[in-house]
Amino acid sequence: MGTKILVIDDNNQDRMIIKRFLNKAGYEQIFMAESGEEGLKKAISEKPDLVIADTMLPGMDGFEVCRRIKGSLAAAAPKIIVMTGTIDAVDAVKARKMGADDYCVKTADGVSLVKAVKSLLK
Amino acid sequence: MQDKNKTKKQRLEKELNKVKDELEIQTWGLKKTNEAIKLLYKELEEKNKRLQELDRLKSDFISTVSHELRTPLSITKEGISLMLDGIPGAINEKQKKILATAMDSIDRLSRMIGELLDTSKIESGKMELNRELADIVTLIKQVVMSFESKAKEKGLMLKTVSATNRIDIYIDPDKITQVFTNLIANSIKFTEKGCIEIFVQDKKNEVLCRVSDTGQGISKEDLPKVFSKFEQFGRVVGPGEKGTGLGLSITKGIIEAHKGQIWIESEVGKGAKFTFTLPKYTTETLFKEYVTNGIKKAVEKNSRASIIVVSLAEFANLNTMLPPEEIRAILEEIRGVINKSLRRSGDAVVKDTGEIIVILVGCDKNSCFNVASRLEQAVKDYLEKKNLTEKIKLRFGCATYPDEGRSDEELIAAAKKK
Repeated sequence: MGTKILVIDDNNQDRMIIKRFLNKAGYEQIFMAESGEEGLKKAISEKPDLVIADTMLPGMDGFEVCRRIKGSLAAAAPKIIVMTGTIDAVDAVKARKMGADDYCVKTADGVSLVKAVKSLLK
Repeated sequence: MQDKNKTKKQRLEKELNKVKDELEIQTWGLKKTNEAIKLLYKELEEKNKRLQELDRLKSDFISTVSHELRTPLSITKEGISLMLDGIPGAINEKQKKILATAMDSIDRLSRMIGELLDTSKIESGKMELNRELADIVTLIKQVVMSFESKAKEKGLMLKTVSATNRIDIYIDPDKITQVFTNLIANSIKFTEKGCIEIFVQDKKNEVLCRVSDTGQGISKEDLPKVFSKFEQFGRVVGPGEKGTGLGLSITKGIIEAHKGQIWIESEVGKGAKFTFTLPKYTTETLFKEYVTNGIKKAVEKNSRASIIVVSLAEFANLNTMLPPEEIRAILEEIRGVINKSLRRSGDAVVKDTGEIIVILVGCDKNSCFNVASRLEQAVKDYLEKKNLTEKIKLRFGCATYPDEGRSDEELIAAAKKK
């Protein structure tokens, strides 16, 4: 049984890029969700070890997804990385308060994200 | 009582913990943001580097291609001009007409290639100025003269306005000629009736020049684009007059290389007014510029650079003995003597009313000393020959970078001390 990661991002290109980075880093089982609602469903049905959620999503945003996953699954909840393209200290604090385990910026090389994933899945 | 205190303590502790937690979260947020900003900054820096590299590649490409285009073009041109002259055999009028049209197009093409080369030089900061003391009024008159027939054809009046007959200033005369040529050609192109005026004024620290016309003018929206590359905006021109759109951007580049400024004022239907300034260079700044360039070249080649400063002793006294024009003529001749004695090419010599400077890139202290003695001897011979030994006393001083000075000022000061 390999590690399962769920990526929630409404941007198709970003999802593909993140998947590629994760595959390259050795993570094979990647699930995708395009919206917060879909992400929440999959977080429950697929039982991933880690969820990566973009802050800005149509409808339910990344913070809310984070709060609901942590709230409904409690101790069984996966680790969550809240990811953003627009860096903001207020957002970082908000993510933490919603239960995020890490807050991470999207970069072109994906290095920061992969690093965060690795350290949470140790 | 004790219970009450205990509850109070517990409450306070709880509150304190809450504040502590909050503080931890805030710190965590700041730390994460800080890390992210650092990452983004690094990424931006890398992207910037890559862009600069691409920009350089593009400039190199333009420069190489233009150079490569020049050779076949000049061979074609040579061939056509031989045929036009009837050297390989007589040609009839019809053939002549066809060849003449071809020749015109080749000239246009070669101008365009020249403009591309100029642009790539300006962009890569490689435009070198050969500054010399030149009379800008005469320069303007010469350019204006070359446009007289063209202006007459269109029924336009060309006039030059200057309060003085002569304004001497350190400029690169070829480049400034190019500036006036661009501006006047531009004005003629976009003016159907009226006149084109070239105004020049000697100000305290700069020379102000203006080319204005009574043409169709430029709209407010287009004004900011005037000096951009490849911009050909609203002004409608006839067939065959389309250029590369580089002329005005080159003009701006040349003025800026002279550390001057250029701007435009215009309104639709009210003509255009191009004004630029050329700062006056004192001997000191000019010397400094030359020495700085010499040091720059030495640093690029990872070698040394030496300077030799030749100065007229008791210059003030000499001024009362000889008229300034004569002193200048003598200095010019001494410069010629020095130039002849310098064996290597690329050594720059600047003249001014009292000092001559020689820049020797890649020359260390010893060889600089040898060159200086050789120059001194050559100049001495010249002065003796001219019977000027009594009147003119020269001082020779040298200094080497980086041994005796790391900046232009340090080097010049070191050379003058000796």
